Amino acid sequence: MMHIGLIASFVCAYVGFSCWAISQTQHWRTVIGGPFPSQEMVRTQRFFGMVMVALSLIIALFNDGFSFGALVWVLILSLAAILVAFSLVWCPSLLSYINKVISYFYFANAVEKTNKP
Amino acid sequence: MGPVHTWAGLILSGLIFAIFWTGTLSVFDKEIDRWMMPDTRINLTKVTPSLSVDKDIIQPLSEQQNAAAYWTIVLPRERIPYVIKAASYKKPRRHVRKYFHPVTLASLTNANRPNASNFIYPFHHNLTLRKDDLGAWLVGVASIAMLCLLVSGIVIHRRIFTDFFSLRLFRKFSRANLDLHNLTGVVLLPFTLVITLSGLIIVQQVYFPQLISRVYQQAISVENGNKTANEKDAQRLFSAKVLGHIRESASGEKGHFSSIEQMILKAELDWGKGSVYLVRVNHPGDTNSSVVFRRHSDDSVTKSNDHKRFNTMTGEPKGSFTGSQAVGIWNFISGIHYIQFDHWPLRWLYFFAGLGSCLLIATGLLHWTTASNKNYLTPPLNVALMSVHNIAVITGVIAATGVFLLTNRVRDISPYLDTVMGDKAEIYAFFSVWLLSLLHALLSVLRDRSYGYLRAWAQQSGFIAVVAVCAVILNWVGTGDSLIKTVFTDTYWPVAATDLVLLIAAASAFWASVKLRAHYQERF
Repeated sequence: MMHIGLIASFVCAYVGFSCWAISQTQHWRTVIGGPFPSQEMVRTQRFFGMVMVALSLIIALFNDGFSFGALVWVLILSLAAILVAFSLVWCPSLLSYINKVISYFYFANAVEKTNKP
Repeated sequence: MGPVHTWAGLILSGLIFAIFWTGTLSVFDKEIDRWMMPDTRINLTKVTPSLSVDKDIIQPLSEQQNAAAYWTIVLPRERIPYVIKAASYKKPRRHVRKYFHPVTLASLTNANRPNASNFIYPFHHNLTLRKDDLGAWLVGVASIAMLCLLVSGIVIHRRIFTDFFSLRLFRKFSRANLDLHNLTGVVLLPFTLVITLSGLIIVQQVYFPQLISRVYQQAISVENGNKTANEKDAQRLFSAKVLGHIRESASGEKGHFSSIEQMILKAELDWGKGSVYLVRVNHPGDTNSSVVFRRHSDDSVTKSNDHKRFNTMTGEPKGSFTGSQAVGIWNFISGIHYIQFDHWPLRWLYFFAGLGSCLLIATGLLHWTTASNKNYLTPPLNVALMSVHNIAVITGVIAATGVFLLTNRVRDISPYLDTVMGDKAEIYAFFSVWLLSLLHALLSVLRDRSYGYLRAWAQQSGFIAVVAVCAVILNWVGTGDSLIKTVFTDTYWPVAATDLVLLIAAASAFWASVKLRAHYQERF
């Protein structure tokens, strides 16, 4: 059970950092391509990233208590950020899938809209 | 800030790398100990010791060592699966420590060899230079330099947020190296900052030796109106208030032992079953003897120093100590650094963060030499010597650690080899290989100042790969603990994980060696 909570916390942090990475111009080009989305959408994407990182903290705290949870969360954040950076190099498609899922739920197919000529 | 980052890095990064490397290994010091001491590979999840503290520990001790000032008994636990019996004598002052199997109670004679707990971990905090605390002072200077490097690094890194996830690995080496340096520096900043600062805080008594005496002398003076409170009294007050130490003198009359197991049960009524891990008997065999129990800190980050005291003769409680809130904060900071808790995922996260920090320091060192090299066809002597330094501190210390482990396994092949090599063979091997690595790098660079450093990197990486594989093979040959056995048939993770990490290290070093060799050959 402890490990499921840890994995969930890591996944949330990874998804949160992916949102932040994709919301940056150079990584948007690598992962999605096409014209960069509107400022409003970038803000929404970053906000969603923040929510996911916060959710990762909440899960870590519930899973491990305050002292262990806080330590675990800080180190999980570092690991997730490094893995997002490596994913951008080796498997950007993974981040593009994550973006598709997020777009479906939160941006009402905003990617397709912005990619229209 | 730029010159601070450059100069602090150039002068002290080598030392900082060695400290972070040994610190990273110390995260799993007890597991490396199991690998290095086959006698102590005892799986307490499969073997449940039916140990009687009174009959199996106290009785033999009282028959042999009655004149001791105190006994310390460490009960077996998951990470230290054997019994430690120690007796301390006052005149002459000495400390005898022995290790016993928790089930058979046989003496573990090889358990006192150089290993991770008594070499790698002390190297991390005092470089094994104990005289006048020289090593601890050097580590302190390196830690201050690390803090300066972290702060100056953040200040001079202008595009922290824009380049937060930037990792251009497939561009030229200098770009990839600097991106790795920036990424690990920014992302691991909370870890590096907290671990360096907590490391400095927990050894403050070395850096400010008068601090405690002065504060408590003042407290005594204010309380008593006595201006001449001496240092000894101040230290005693500190020990009593902060650590809960109580000085008791022996009566000189012969006493007897009440059941210590019953006292442990009483102590565990408050703390929970199985929480007592250390038993100390003061003035054993005296009518004024007392027993002190300490609880483990497996279930919290805070490294507890709570204890309970009992009368040895009657078995009645004499008092208990729970640290104040200030002591609790101190214990929390030391707990963050010492990592004695029972939380395996967090322990692995610490290990990876430690490796990431080593990568940060190594890429920082490489950045300077790469940037300085590109301006010259034949690099000047200072750049060439810095390349030698980098090789000696990065691959040198890693190779030395590998040989430290390998020597331990070689000793076990035959008793003859063990006798010939002597008690401290591992330590001599460690420092010899480190020195040889420096000489090898120096010769390579002096022979070919333009590209000799590439050759030295490649050769030393290859050497690390060979040493790591040999260590795994010798562990198998010497003890019969192959990876198949320790992972599948008779699972024992401390040995299996050490073997697996060695194999991963060997694969990485081999890959690096092949790449570097190809790079070197391209130049001709």
